[in-house]
Amino acid sequence: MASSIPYSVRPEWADVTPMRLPEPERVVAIQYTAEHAEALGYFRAVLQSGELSERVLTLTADMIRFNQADYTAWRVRWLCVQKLGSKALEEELAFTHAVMLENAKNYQVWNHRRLCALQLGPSVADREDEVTREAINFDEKNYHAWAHRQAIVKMTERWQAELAIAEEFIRRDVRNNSAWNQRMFVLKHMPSSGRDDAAWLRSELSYVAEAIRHAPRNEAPWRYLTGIFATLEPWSSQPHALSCHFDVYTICTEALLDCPSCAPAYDVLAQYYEGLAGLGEARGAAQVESQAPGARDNLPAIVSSVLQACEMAQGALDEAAVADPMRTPYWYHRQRGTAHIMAATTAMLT
Amino acid sequence: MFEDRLPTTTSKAQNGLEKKILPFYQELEPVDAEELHDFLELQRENHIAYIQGGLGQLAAGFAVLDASRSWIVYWLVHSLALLDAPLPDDVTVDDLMSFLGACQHPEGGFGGGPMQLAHLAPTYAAVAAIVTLGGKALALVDRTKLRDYLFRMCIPPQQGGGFSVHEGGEGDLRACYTAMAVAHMIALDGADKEELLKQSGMVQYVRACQTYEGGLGGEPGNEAHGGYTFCGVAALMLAGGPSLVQSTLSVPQLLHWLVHRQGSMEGGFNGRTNKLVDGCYSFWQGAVFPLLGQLPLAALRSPRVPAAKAPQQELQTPPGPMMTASPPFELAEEDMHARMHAYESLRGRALNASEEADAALRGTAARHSSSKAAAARGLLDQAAAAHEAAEQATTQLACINVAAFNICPPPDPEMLMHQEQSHLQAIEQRQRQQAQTANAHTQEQEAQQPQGEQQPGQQGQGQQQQGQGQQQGQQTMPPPPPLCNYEALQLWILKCCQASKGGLRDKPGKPVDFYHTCYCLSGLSVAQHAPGSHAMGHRETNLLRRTDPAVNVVEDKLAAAKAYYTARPLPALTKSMALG
Repeated sequence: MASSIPYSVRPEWADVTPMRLPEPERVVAIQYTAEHAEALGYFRAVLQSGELSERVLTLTADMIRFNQADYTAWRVRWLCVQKLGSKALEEELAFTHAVMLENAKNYQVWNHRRLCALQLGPSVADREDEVTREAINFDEKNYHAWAHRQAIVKMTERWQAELAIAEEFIRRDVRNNSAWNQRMFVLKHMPSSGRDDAAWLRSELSYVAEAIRHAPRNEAPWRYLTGIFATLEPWSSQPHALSCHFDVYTICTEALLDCPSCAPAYDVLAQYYEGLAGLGEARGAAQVESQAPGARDNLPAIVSSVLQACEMAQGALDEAAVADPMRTPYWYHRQRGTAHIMAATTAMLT
Repeated sequence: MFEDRLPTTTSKAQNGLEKKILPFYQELEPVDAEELHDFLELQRENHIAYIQGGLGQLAAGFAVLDASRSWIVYWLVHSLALLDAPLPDDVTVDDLMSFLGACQHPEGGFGGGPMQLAHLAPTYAAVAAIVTLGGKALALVDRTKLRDYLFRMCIPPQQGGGFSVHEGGEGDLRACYTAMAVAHMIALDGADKEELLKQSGMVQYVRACQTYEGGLGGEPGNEAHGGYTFCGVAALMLAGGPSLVQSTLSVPQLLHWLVHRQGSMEGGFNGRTNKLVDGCYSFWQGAVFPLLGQLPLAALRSPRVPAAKAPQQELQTPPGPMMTASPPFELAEEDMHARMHAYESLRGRALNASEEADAALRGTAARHSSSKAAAARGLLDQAAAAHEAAEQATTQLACINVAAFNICPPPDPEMLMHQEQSHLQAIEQRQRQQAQTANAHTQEQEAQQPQGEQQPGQQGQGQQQQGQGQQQGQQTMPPPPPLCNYEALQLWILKCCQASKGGLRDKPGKPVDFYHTCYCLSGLSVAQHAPGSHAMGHRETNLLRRTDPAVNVVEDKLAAAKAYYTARPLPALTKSMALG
């Protein structure tokens, strides 16, 4: 690690002439400390010469100490490590850890760590787990730390362990959205062949319902609930899959029994009804297109059920607007959407 | 935030913030709607002084921004441009040009400072600053080398797709956005843009970044986040206009996530679910609304299910719930009364128990005294906890009383409905007119030239023109109804993000900085100029220049740069570049 001996008197740097800027700077001119200014001069000299070596590695450590976001220094460091070989690569884990302790929210340190970890391979699993846990224990929503975990688990495939950490942090704080996102990430990537979809869904919905019971107005599990149907196969290819699962309706109504002003429950309930309306509208359109005799006889019943679903949706959205007035323009936007469906469906009768 | 009897780290942080904001909004409590404008003054002169001061010498503490000096220039000159304010006397356009020129890398692109590697983020900042300076500064950019650099930053789809921020640097949506914004500002032509999209597979990459929540994360799988959501949506908008946004993302889900980012009490935006609001998201989240506003209204709602995908059987419509919601004020009031009551009763019992314990000590039943004392202590502890709960409930009620949704109430549903109707009617009318003109034009063309295959570049341009046409058109035609509360956003910026000594900030309690000054002002400009919105406070003091929501450069400056660069087209891509 760098000491406070000026570079100008270090024998190992005697052959290098530091570069200076031609004149004092006028624009957004930083008053560097003497140490930093000197190191900058030497760094610019080796940038010019293109040298990659042990001493340049040491110099980059200094540059990073002065400014952790010095991406040029990090890049040169990486090139030195590549040249110096595997021992240097291993030592980067300790180096990056030390930097992270000072600032866990810096892009460059996490990028560098990722490059090192991916090159070292799956043997790093435990160390990456440790360093990210440390960061997440300090700040449970550290974006870089959770993202790093994603990159590592894609390499190590330790999916169960990742699911466990997501559950652990949801237990600690059921409102931790980063943990919920991690859960979805695992479930999306985890091998799922041979899975019984219906049973899996039931169990997942049960997990979500439990979380909702603990804090009904917590946004995170509700987004997760609708997210399952929107993004996971086979449901994401099915139109309005959410509305085809009565469990969703139950989760909403139970939440409302416990918490009659639960805006997300009204919102998801409205989505449930809106989906029914959309599916009904499609059935109506199919009848209209159909050449089969008597197809149009089914229309009045279909139209009536679509109108009913739309009214239910509008009612739920009215309540959402009372419980969550900030989003009123958006709730009304959804209501006008159901009005369009009502108009289009009614028109089928003519 | 309603804690639902389960306080966690998140809810404690949120309630802490609401308590901090309370005094700022309480100042407005006695004020009525017309007077409100007097209390929301933008402190122009203070901000201008703060911003101008940043362009010269900076203290040693800025060393941690040494790799972002071109950013500092952009934050400052863009802020001045929004405020229609001049550069300071001691820093000229020539000085700035000289500095930005020194940041330009010989092989193309810009670094954060002289002799730094080219990096897409400071490249965006430098180009945006140059466009903002305008005039003779525009010639500074070596566009040919810059184009080469953008191509070098492409990550082939087989390797994940998107762009790297620098050689060996991370790839994420920031890189995609900055690449597209730069390409747009220097007026790369349709063919170049199409080739960039092809070599990076950017469209697929952006799609992969949309999460189950509806917002976009930095890389595929990462948590939905405001900064990255802006980057993804704006990148698509710049690459192919509203139709590309519509065909790439699940827009209704995106909209749902986006509207939930606006804080009920605060009025400002947060960046992620269950996180705290921050002034900079006034732009990152706020600007996505006018971008989405360029899409047809139908795209902002669930798409129709085609007849072919209709379910075979009828689905039952279960009955609606019997309950009705109470507005936040009523809930908070009820809660407060309940907790006061609980506290009073516990306090009474605790006092009685204390007296009994004292009596036992003094009296003959001394052997009972210690258990009575313990009981009294227990009750006193409970009473203290109940007192804290009652205080919290009182604060909660006070917060709701002056919440942003109360100070800036939403418009009537009827009014919104009429707005939508007028908007849709005007669109329909314009489409009919366009169809008539197009028919006449096609007939003319067919008479003159044989039919040819449309070049991919032209298609992109066509889509973009459509987007621009819609945007220009929307300035004169009735806008769609607003989907967020622009007034509440302005309230947040003007009341909570302005520092009395100049500069703007993340939130009360945080220091000002140039980044937050830039993005609070940019967000304010977006909110003021969004179709269907209006400026809060007095126009003479508050109205900012209009910023382009996709590029975040003042509109006329962007237009001037486009004209300048379009008149100087680059030579066609060499074969080696085109083949990737």
